[in-house]
This record gives sequence, structure tokens and C-alpha cells, in this order.
Amino acid sequence: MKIIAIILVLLWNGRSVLAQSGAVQARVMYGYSGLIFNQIGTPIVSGNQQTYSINILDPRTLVVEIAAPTRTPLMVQIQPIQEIWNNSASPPAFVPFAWEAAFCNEGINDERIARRQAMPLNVNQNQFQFEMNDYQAIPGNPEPVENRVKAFLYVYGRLGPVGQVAPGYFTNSMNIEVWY
Amino acid sequence: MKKTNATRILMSLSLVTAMLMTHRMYAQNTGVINTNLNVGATVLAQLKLTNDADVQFGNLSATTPGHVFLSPTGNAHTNTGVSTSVGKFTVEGSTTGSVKVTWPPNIVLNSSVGSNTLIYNLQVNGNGSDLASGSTILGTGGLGVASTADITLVTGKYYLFVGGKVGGTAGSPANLNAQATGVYTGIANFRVEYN
Repeated sequence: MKIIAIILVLLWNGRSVLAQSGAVQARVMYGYSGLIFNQIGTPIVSGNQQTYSINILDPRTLVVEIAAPTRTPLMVQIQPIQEIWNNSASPPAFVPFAWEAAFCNEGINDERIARRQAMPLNVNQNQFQFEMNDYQAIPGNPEPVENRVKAFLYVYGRLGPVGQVAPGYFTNSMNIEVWY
Repeated sequence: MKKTNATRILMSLSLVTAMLMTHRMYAQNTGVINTNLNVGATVLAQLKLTNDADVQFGNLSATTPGHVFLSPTGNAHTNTGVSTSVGKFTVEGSTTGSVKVTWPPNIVLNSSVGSNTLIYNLQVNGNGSDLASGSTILGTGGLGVASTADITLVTGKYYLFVGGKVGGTAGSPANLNAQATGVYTGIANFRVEYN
């Protein structure tokens, strides 16, 4: 009987681990459509040599939310791009682009608070390792749901300077992976 | 058949081993969130504003029976000289660019003789085609008041036609009345920028 009890306890613990392991959730927030630099009032004009920034507080910043149990290891991998292209032009034209990113794994479940606490990532790297930290009991920070704390990845960037390039739509795509 | 204690322990150990394996398997239950981030921007062609023609009211009488009006459409001028010219600018830029045009609603014309002045109240018309007669008045407030308008380039171009009235005061044109003779000139600065 003792042995059966031990097995039941082990089974119970095992289930608990399974629930936690399978509990990592992630999503791109706010129905995101991309880092689109067009904005009324700030036209991007060929040859104006200006630089256009989307900073972390800008609503156009990409926000990835990860919800996972404390201590879950995470790895973020960013496949960087250095320019965006107008492939309709002949020859194709480009405008320089510099990505920037920040991460908050400080146990902040509120995205707006996390955004202000996020630490910039080193743009000379493209792989980053984190661990989900303990929940921070600070005012305004929602309680964890089902023992999951949240971490947030922010990706934004800088376009330009805009040289004498063929006008048109310039685009490129960068791949972002979060491994857990 | 009755199981011995040894068999029971062996079975339990097997179960424990199985559990631990399951545990490890799920601990290694990795996943990946993969997203492609689109980065995009529309780069517009440089805006260009070309002054194709200056405004010429011609030789005017020092006293006129009515307002001196140079119509931007190129016809129906009143009390102007015989030889006149409607001012014209060509705006060039992106194919269907939305552009804000600003201009002074009125300017002071200075005489070549002495310090006499004459007020010129501008009327600016616009057209997506290079045709003054089909142009329509831009801005709100009309002649001598309007000073800005949003236009949309048509296949990268838009045309401004400039006329107006001389005489009276800023925003309130009037007949010329014993205006001092001389050649009156002035400069009106037009500005274009993308919205």
C-alpha cells in the first residue's frame, strides 16, 4: 500500500510538472501589422537625408507577450536586416534600417509598466537568453494567472538617412523567434 | 498468482522510471514562437515647385471705375491692361501625393518711384491638368483671404494659377483712385510640402 501511495504522489507531482511545462503561451499583441514608418505629417522624401525613428513607446512597436512559469528559460533569436528595399525600381533601391529591441522579464504582468522597465538588447548580438523572473508585487501589476508570469519583447527601429532613391514602397521582413 | 514483494517493488520502480522519463520529456517540451516582422515605408519623390509665369496686370489707369481683377482662369479680367499674364506654378512630386500649398493672401507692391505702395490681394486657383480655364479657386475665404490649400497631385503634377486684385487694403479690394504712377512690384512666396 505504501508503494502505491508513493506512486500516486509521484504521479501527482508529474502532472503538476506537465501542466507547467505545457503552460507557456505567447502572442503578438495589438493585432500588429508591422513597423510601418509612413506617418501623416512626417513624409519620407527621397534625398532629404532624414532619419525616422519608431521608439519603444511608439504604438507601432512590435510587442510579443510571453506567459510562462517562473524560471522558464527563454531564448530570443532575431534575424536582423540592415535595409529595406524597393524592388520595383530598376536597379532595386534601398534605405538603411537599424533594428532595436528591448526585453522585460522582471515579473511585470502589465505591458505598459513592462514597456517602461524593458532593457535594451545589444544590437550586435542576435541571440539572447532569459529566464522568467518572479512576480513583482508592485502596485498596478496584475496577479499571475495559473502561476504564469509575463515577459515582453519589444522590437522597433530606425530608418534612414534617406538618400536619393527611386520613390516607391520599400519593405523587408525580419524573423523573430522566441524559444522556450 | 500472488505477487511477491520483490515483484511489487520492481513494478513500482518501473512506474517511477516511466514517470521520471515522462517528467524529463515534458521538461524538454520546448516550443517556438515565430513571427515575421514587416518593415515598410513609402518614400516619396522630391517635391518641386516651378514658377512658370509671373503675374502681370499690365498698364493700369490711376483711377479705375471698378476693381482691377486678373482672373486666374485667364479670362474675364476687369480693368487690367491689355497685356496681362496669369501667374503659374507647376508642382511636381509623387504620383498621387497629398500636398499642402501655402501662400500670402496679400502682399504690398512697392513703386519704382518714391515710397508709394499698392496692395495686391491674391487669388490662387488649381487644376490637376495644365489648363487655367478649368482651374478652380483654392483655399477658404476667397480672394485676399485664403492662404493655404491641400491638393492631390495627378500623375505627379498639379498646376497653380495666380491672379487677384490690386488696390484697396489687405483682404478688402477697392477701385484705384488717383494712384501714384510708377511700376509696382512685389514678391509672393509660395510653399509646398507633403501632408
